[in-house]
Amino acid sequence: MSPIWESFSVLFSFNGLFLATVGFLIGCIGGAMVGIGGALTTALVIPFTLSMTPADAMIVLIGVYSGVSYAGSIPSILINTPGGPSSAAVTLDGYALARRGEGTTAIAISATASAIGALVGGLSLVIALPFLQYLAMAFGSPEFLMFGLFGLASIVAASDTGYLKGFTAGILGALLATIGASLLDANPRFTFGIGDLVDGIDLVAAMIGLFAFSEMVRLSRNPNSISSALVGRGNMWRGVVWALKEWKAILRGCGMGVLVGFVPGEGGTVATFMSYITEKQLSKQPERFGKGHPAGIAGPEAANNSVIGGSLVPTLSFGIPGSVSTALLLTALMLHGIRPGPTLFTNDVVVLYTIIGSILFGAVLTMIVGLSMSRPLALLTIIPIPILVPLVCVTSVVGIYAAGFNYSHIFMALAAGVLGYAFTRLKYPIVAFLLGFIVGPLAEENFMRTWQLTQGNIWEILTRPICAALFLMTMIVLLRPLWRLLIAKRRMRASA
Amino acid sequence: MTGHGDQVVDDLQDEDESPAADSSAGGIGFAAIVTLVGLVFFLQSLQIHSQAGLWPRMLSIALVVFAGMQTITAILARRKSPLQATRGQQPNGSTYRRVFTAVWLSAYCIAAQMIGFGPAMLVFVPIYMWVMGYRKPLWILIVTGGFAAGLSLMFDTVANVPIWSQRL
Repeated sequence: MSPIWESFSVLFSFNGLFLATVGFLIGCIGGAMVGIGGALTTALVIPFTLSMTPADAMIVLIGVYSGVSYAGSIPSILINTPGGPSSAAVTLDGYALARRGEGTTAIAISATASAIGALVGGLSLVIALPFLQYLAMAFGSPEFLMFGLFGLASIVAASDTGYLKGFTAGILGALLATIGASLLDANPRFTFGIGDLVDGIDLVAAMIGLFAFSEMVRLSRNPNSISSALVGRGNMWRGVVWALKEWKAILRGCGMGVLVGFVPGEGGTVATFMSYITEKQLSKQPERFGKGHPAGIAGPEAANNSVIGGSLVPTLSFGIPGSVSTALLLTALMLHGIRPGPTLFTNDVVVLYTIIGSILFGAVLTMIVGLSMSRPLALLTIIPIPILVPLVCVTSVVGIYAAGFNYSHIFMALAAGVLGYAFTRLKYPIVAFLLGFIVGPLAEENFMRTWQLTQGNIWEILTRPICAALFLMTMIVLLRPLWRLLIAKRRMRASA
Repeated sequence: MTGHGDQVVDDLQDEDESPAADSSAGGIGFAAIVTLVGLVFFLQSLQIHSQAGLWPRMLSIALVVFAGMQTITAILARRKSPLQATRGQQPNGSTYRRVFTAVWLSAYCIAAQMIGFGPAMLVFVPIYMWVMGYRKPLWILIVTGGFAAGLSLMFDTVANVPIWSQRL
């Protein structure tokens, strides 16, 4: 049986459809609840998927990802509070539309645009696949090492927290990942006499601590529920029609989402705001933006959801996640023993096509389930914080134990929670830390191979064309913000 | 990025949740601690005589450099604008709630190891809700009971995690 048929038979079996729908609903619930978001929802679900086959696990997790990408716009629209950073752009026109009594209409515009965006994102992955396989085959250890550095540089440059913080977070993550048995000689490193550290810091514990524990402490600052949601009034079908009328905005948003998704570190937030600015500038009625213009919802939502396919390109081909959510998907793949890169296209091709099929099916679920669940999902935005926090914390603690049946992991998660809270308060980019932590071991492996290949003369790799190109791209990415700063200062001096 | 979009996101944060300044005591302290971590890892890596020490040695040197520069930059910024560093540092209700949540979570993790996840949850969840100001006893009971049932179903039945066992 060809891999495509095999993956489709897994996805479209009763079990596959059930898992996809459950994952999507969980994602919708997590995305609609302010303070939870995609990364935390995915982190909480991962322990449950460890006992599944890799294909089933990806069906669930892609379903969660699809659900979160859509449902994050619901609190944006109804209570002017984004469910996640990539849903912030929707608050501008979505909330304005809701205040005019068209909350359900706005959600329907979002669902329609999200569905089309997810479809385009999935198709872009299908189109890119043959090139990806060829490209991944051309990558050896030096190329993977350079791409890892490019990924970290992109994420650091994309964050608005400055290079020092970005590199500090990324390198700290990579350093903490060296705790435990060495890849080279299996001797324990940096355990400081603590037996539980011989296996290293547990990835699931680190993720849940970084996202769940730190976020719940942050959320608890306000004991009240987020203010009561506007009643989801409006008309669902009107929203679908309005969205389809904005087909140009949707297509432009899809294009931006896919292209931005290709670049590690940029993610949905950049794509959504790029789309919003573009639509406002191209509109014949720019003054209507910010007051409930449908294109102000449709474009950003299409961009937000098409990012899924685009960001999986560097994730699956090179093991460099494009965003926090794809970093967690990468974690799940690795926990199931699946390594990104050339072997994914040969040994695990069924999982690969299952991922693509799940993205495409997620588009269908967004349209059907997302639209019909819009009113119940709206109620999730008013769960009081004193109920939400203990439930998420207890679920997280048990989930960590369920992943490894080792109680020391829970204390690792507590430590990660302290770190995650410090990162959030002091504006260190968590995604850089996560990239360093997840990709660090792979980077070490590639570095040591490259070191042996070049007999210690590592700069030799710059004679390889792909390495040279990646090095140049890294320099451009790092120097571009500094160049812009220089130009801006010159302009200020000239105008002063 | 649209300035209006940034403003919307900024408006959503309370003043006491705005990021701490780099030049605050916390900012300087954190950067200094990370620098120290890098130093400790570097010294430990010198004890590794095989090539397994090379990668962490490089990383620890880079970490000391970057975190050290961040520390120095923060100290210089504090000396330049001491008032900005101390703005918004007074503890308030929000701070106490966050501290309580962190302490509550840690206590739950310790208690759950001794008496089990489920029994600890039956005590800790109602306490949290009550202390955080949720004053509806019937709803507290319903939520706790419902969550206990959900937890048993999710973990005990599906994932084979002993929710009600006393020692883990």
